[in-house]
Amino acid sequence: MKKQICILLVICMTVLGISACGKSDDGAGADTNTNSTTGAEQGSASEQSGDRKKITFAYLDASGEDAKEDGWIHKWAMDTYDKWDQKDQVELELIPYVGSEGDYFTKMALELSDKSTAPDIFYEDSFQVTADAAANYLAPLDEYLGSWESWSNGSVIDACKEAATGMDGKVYGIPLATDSRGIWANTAVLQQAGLSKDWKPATWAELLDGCRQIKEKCEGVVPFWYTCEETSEATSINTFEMVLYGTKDHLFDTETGKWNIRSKDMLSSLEFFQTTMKEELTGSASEVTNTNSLNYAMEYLRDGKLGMVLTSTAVPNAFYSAGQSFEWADWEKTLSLIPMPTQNGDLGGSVTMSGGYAWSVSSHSEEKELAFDFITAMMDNKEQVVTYMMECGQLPTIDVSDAANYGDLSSRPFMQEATELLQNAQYRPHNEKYSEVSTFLSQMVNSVVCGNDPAEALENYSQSVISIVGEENTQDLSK
Amino acid sequence: MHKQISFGKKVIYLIPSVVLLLIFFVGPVVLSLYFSFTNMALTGSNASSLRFIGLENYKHMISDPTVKKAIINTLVFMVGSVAGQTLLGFGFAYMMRSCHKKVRKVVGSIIMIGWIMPEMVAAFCMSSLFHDSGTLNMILEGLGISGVSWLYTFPMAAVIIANVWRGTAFSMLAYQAALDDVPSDIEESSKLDGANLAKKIYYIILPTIKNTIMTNTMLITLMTLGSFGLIWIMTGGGPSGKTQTLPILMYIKAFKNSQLGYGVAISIISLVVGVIFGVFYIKAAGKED
Repeated sequence: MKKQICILLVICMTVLGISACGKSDDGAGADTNTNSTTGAEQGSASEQSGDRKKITFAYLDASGEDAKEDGWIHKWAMDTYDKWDQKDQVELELIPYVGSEGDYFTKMALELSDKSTAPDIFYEDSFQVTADAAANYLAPLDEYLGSWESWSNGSVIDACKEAATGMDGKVYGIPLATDSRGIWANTAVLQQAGLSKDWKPATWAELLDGCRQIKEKCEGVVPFWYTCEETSEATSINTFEMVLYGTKDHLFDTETGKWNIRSKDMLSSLEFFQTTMKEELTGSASEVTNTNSLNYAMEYLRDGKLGMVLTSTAVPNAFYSAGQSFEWADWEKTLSLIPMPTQNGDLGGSVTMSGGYAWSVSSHSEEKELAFDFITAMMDNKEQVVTYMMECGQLPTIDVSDAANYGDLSSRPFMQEATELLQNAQYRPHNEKYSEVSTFLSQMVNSVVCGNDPAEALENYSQSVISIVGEENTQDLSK
Repeated sequence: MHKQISFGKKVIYLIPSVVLLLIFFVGPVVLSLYFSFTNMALTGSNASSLRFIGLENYKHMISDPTVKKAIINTLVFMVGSVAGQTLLGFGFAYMMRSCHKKVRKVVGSIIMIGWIMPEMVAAFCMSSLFHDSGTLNMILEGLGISGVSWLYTFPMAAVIIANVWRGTAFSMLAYQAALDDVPSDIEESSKLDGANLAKKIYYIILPTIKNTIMTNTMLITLMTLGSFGLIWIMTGGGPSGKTQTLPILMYIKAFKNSQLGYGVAISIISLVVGVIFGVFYIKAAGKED
């Protein structure tokens, strides 16, 4: 008898165990962090069945957990909808997601793969465009582009257009915002360490020497910070690629169309991070690799406990905006934006990676043209574009100099510097495998920062890349 | 004694459970098994062309160092949790036998707290205990000892302690019930014969509650094998994969690295590990019957 009970229990537990690790792909779990808002007038549920068409609009709401109707994109979309000439014929449903970027990408990929859950319009990181286009999740927009003047009259930045283009040359998104990257420094700390206020290191060695100087002269101050969360796109673009692209060999060889593996430059980039850890030139590994790494950095930078942080130019927005958690009265006077130097000061002297976001249309959408119309209406709503950039700290992809509130944006501190960096920006590999490769990239840096051997980490990365793209699509640079 | 039940009736009685098993157990397992032989992906060109790739995922697993590491981590996590929960659970149950009723109630409820808390809450409690500026380090600081970054320096120990803290109550309850069944006359006579505590536990108590130990160990093993939320919240599998157990690795491969097929293949491996342990325990428990 006991034996039977045991068997039954084993079966029950195994089933429970398995179902516990499985995903719930119905809406139940998802609905806890989504909060949809319908653009139609309140109490007009019956209208849905009428002639009105409906478009759904999903996005990542990064404006704070309780933002809801004050959410940056919400305001932008609703303002556009209210002015839209097709408002009476179309109902708009906004579906904000509150959570981490990584979870949002996973969630979107799952929703896009099914017709019943795919939104019409959604907020897409440009690095996902090639992968999602290859997965047939996105609708090509080329046939509609002709009707949108801003696309062809040079108003939209070309590099951003390219970032929203698939590997087949079709356009899969309308770029909505871009950004650049550099080192934010607390000049008070720099001066205390005997470095000048406008100190600009020309090479990695000079940067590291500066860090050593800060460590020596300023007690209790962390010299340098970067974020290094495991499996996060931010770790790839903000941290590793900012270093690697200051060397000769990048991630992907555009000439041969192959992924570089086991390259010496990749190894020396990893050694750069190893040095910062070994010599204690950066924060504790537990804080640097933490999900809230950037929050630590902001707090320390404001409190004069941190010298420099390598990150996106959008970051000081948290100091600037009133009511933000890192409000800082003197930020404008104290901060400086230092371009990230290349390894040896050559290759143009400095490096910046540019990312960005796009509005894409799902391939499952039944109202593709309508969705496209709404996206362009949003982009042509220049005042709201400016407001959005002011709020999130990113840079516009479209010419907004004719907007009434343009002055507010252009006169913002560091706006000039951040935009200038964009001039010779580097972009992430334009390849559908990048989004997968990137996850291994961040795991590699994370493992080095956690004390593992760079050569071993690089070998693991190389193996993983081979497993994804196939050995024939890689080139071994160690030989 | 027994009335003969006709074959047809037997079948009818069995149908509901068989149907449920097929829908909720066999179905998903077969489907998972199929997906583990495909290149299923979350995004990229593989997502648009599902292809049968044979044993490719499993072959890759053999050469993948993260899988090896995850299997070792899973075993360490499991053995640590099972040992900790069993020893503590039995220890508490044994000691509380001779305690005053009130003490039993107070101590019992304190231990139960970890168990009745939702996993999420328990994990957050443990995170804040082990955090760099958390409770544990604050206490140490008060004692003049400089703290350690627990979740970074001893991540596996931290998650094991958390899991043991959560699971001890369950073992304690099981052992309390079992200990009540130990005949007091045998215990008393052993005392008269001059058996000390160790001998009493080894010769009298353990053989009596052997089956409970087996069942309890099996349940803890299987619960621990599938444990995800606790580790995910506390360390996310980090730092650098040091607490990456099979369920965590499966999630990362499937939903972070976008390799759904590979992730499913890993889940099949954890299923196999679970079945092996299950069969082993059933065999061990069955010997006595």
